[in-house]
Amino acid sequence: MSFLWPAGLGFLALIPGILLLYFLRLKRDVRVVSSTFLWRKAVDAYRVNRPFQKFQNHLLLWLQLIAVLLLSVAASRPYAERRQRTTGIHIVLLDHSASMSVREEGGYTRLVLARAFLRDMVGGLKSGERMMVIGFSDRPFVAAPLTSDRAALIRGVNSVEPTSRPTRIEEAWHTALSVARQFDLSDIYLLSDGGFRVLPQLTQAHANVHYIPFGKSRDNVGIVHVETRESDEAERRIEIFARTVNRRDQPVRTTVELRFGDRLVDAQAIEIPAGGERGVVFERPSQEEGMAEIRLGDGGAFAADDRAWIPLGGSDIVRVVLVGEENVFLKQALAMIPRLELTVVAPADFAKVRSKLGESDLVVFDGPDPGPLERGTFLFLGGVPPVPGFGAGKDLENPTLLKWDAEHPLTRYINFSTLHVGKAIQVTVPSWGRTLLSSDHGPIISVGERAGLRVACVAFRILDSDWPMRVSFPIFFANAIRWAREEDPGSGERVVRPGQPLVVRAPREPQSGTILDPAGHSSPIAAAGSDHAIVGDTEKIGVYRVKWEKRTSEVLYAVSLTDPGESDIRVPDRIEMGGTALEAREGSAFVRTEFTPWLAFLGLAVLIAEWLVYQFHRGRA
Amino acid sequence: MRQQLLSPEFLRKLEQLEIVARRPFAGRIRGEHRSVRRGHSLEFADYRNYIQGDDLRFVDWKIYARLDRLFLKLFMEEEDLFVYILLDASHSMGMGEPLKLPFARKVTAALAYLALAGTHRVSIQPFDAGLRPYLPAVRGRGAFAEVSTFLEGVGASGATDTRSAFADFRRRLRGSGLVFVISDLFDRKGILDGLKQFLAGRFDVTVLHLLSADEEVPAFEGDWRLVDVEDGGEVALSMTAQLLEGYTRTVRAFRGEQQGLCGRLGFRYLPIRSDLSLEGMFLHRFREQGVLR
Repeated sequence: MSFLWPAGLGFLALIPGILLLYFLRLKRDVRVVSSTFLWRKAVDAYRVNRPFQKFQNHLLLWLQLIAVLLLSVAASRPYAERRQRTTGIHIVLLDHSASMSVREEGGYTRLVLARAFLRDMVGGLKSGERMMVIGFSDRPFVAAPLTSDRAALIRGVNSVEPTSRPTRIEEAWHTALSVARQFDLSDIYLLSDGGFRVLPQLTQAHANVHYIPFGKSRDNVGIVHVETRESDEAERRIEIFARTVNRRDQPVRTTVELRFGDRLVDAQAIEIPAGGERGVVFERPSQEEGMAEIRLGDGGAFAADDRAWIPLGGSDIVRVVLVGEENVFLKQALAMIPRLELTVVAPADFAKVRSKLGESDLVVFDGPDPGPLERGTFLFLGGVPPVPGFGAGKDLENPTLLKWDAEHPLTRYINFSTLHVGKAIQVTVPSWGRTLLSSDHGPIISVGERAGLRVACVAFRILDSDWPMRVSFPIFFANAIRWAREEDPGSGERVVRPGQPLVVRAPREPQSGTILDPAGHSSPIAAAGSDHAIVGDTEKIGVYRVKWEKRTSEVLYAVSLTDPGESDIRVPDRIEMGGTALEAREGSAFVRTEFTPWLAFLGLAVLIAEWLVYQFHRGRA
Repeated sequence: MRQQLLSPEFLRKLEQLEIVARRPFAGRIRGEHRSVRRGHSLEFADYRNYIQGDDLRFVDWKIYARLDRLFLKLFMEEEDLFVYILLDASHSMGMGEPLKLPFARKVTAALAYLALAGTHRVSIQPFDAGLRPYLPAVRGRGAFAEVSTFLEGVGASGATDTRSAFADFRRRLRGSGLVFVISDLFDRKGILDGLKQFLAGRFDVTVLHLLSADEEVPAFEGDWRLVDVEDGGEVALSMTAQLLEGYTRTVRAFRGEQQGLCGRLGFRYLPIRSDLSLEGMFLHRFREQGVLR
C-alpha cells in the first residue's frame, strides 16, 4: 500500500496528545462519595501495579485512538495498485521538451524520472506484450519501434535526450494513432509534464489513453517575449521590451539585465507578483548594435527561459536609391527617416547606377520601368515590377479600398480607410506574391519575395492620390526601410526557437563559411548557389555566429525559447482530449484503488460510536 | 413516626430477643440469669415469660392463678444497666445507596427497643467530629416513642472524628454499660484512639460497621473526579474492571482491619450493609453471632 499524501500520516501525532489528555484528564465528571480515602488507597495500589492502567480496556480511549488512526490514514490517501488489464500493445509518448529539464525535488529532472518509470514499465512487460516508444518535443521521433525486445526498448528509452524545444504534441499524437489503428485495442501512455494541455481527439483508433504526469515544481521565473519597438517620442528611439512571468506562489524580486555579449549595458530590479507577469523596457543604447541579450537574475528551476536574445540592426546607415522624377512629397517622407542615405537618380541616368544597386538597401522606382531585375529589394510606385508573374491590367478609376494586411511589416501600423486613390493600375500578383491592400478591382499594394529578389508594388502614382496628406504616408516608407533591412520587430527571423531551422542570408560571394554555436562548436555552412543557407542544428539556446569566408565581420543569430507555454512548468492534473478530461495517473500505469472514502467512513462511524458510548456513560452516571 | 422507623410486626418479633452482654454488669435486673447483686429488688419494671431455671420467688402467682401461665416479675435495680448507642451522623452517613443514615436510625431504634424491652436504660449519642445533642437515658417501652422522635431529628452533617467525639463522650459518661457504635468508620485518623477511650471502665463495646452496597461494590464506569463529602478531597480516576477489583479488595481489607482492631481491644465487630434486611439481621445474624438471644 502506498500513500498519495504521506503527510496526512502526521495526524497520527494526535495520538500522544490524546494519551496525554487521558493522563491529565483535566475535565472529568464530579461524583461526591462518602470518603475518598479507600479510593485513594485503591488507585495508588493500582497505579503501582499497573502504571499504564488507563490504556487498558478503556473503551472511549480505544475508540478515539481507532478513529484518529483511521482518519489519519484516510487523510494520507492510501491506495493499492494492481497491474491493469492491458491490451498487450503499449504505445508510449515520452515528452523530452525543454520543460522536462526542470529539476524536481531530489535533484532529478522530469525526464530522468519519466525514463526511470518507463524502464520499470519495460521491465514489467509480460511475455507477448509489445511496446513502442516515441519521444516528442516540437516533433516526434521513434525511439523504439513496436517490439517485445526489452533491451531494444531500454536502449530506445535511454536515447530520449533532453532538448530545449517547445512542446508540440500533435505530430507525435498522430504518429501514435497511426500505430494504434493497426490494432483492435491498444494502450497509449503519455509520459509528460502536460505542457500541451489539450490533446487531439482519438480518431479511427481504439485505445486506452493514460496520462502519467511527471513533476510538481512551480519554481520558475522566465522571459516569454522580447521585441523591439519605437518609442512614441519624437526621437523615435528604439526600445527593447521584455515580458517576464513568475510561476511561483510567492512574488519574486529579481534583476533583468540587458547585455551585449559579455558586457552588461543596463539592469533593472523588478518584482513580479505571484503567478503574474511584468514587462520591462530598456532603451536601446544608440551606439550598441548586434545581438542584445535579456537575462534574468533569478530564474528558478527551469533555466532555458532565463535568457532571450533579439537582434538590433546591422548598420545604422540606410542606403536608398530613388529612381524617378522630382517628387517633393516622396523626398520629404524618406528624409524623415534617420540616418538615411538617399540617392536620387533620374530615369535617364538609371543605366549608369544599375550595377551598383546591390550596395543599396532599397531601390524605389517612382514610375519608370527598370527592366529585368535579379537580386535586391525594390519598391515600385505606380508601376508593375518587371518580374515574371506580376502583370499590368487596365487602368482603374477611383478604386474602392477594401481591406489590408495589418500584420505585414510593410503595412503594419497603417490605416488605409481614409486614403483616396484617383487612378491606379490593375495588377496581377503571382502565386508566390501576396496582396497587402486590396480594392474592388484587385490588388493595390502587393509584395513578392523569391530567390533573393524582393519586390513591393504600389499600384498608383503618389500624386494620383491624397496619400501625401495622410499620416500613413511617411509610416509606409519607414516600414519599407525596415522591411528592406529585415528589421522586423515582430518576426525576428534572426532569432528562432530551439529546433527551428535558422535561415542564414548568404552573400552572393563567397557562399561558404562557418557557424559557431553557443557551446563553441564550429560547423561549415554553405549557400550552394542560393541566397541563404539553412542551419538545422539549433538545439542549443544562445548566440550563433556566422562568418562568411573573406569577410571580417560576423553575423549574429540566436536561438531563444521565449515560449509562454513552455515557461509554464506547472503540471496539470488533467488534460483535455476531445472535450473530455483525462485524469492524471501520477506516475502509474496501474489501476489504483484508493481507500480514503472507506477509511473516512469507518473513522466517522467510530467517532459516532465513541460519542454514543460517552453519552451512555453520562446517562448512567 | 414510630411506624416509619420500625413496623409493629418487627417490634413484636424483637420482643422475643434479648441483648447478650459478654460480661456481668452491676445494675442487671433481678430475675436475669447473671447478676452481680442480689436481693435488692426495688421497683417493678415489667413481666416476662418464665424460662426454666428462673428463680421461682419472682413468679407472679396471681397471674398464674388467673391465666394459668407462669410470668416472672421483673424489678429494676437501683443501678440499672445502661445501653449507650453511639450513632455516627457525619456527612458520609448521608451517602450511599441505599442511604446509610436511615438504615442506621432503624438499627439504632431496634437496639433501643431491645434495650427498653429488657428494662435497660438507653441513651443515644449522635456524633460527627464532636458530640451532637443526645438523648438522655430513657427506660421502659413507653420511651420508645421518644427514641423514635429523637432519631428522626438526627441528620447527616460534619466530618468524622471518633477520637474527639468518643473522648468527649467518655468524659461525660460515668459508670459502665453496653456500648454500640454504629458508623461507617470513615475516619481518616482511624478509630483506634477513639475506641481506646472505652478500655478504661467496664464497657462491653460492639462496633456495627455500616457500609452501603455501592460503597462495597461501586456501580459506575468511566472517568471521574471523586470528591470526599466530608473534607472535599479529590481523587481522579478512570474506572476499569481492574480498578474495581482493586477497590473491592481495599474495602475487604478495610473491613478486616477494623475487625482486627476491635478484636485486639476485646470489642465485638459486626459488619453490616444498608441494603440488608433488618429482620434477617436481628432475628438471625445477630443471634448467630451471639449479640442477641
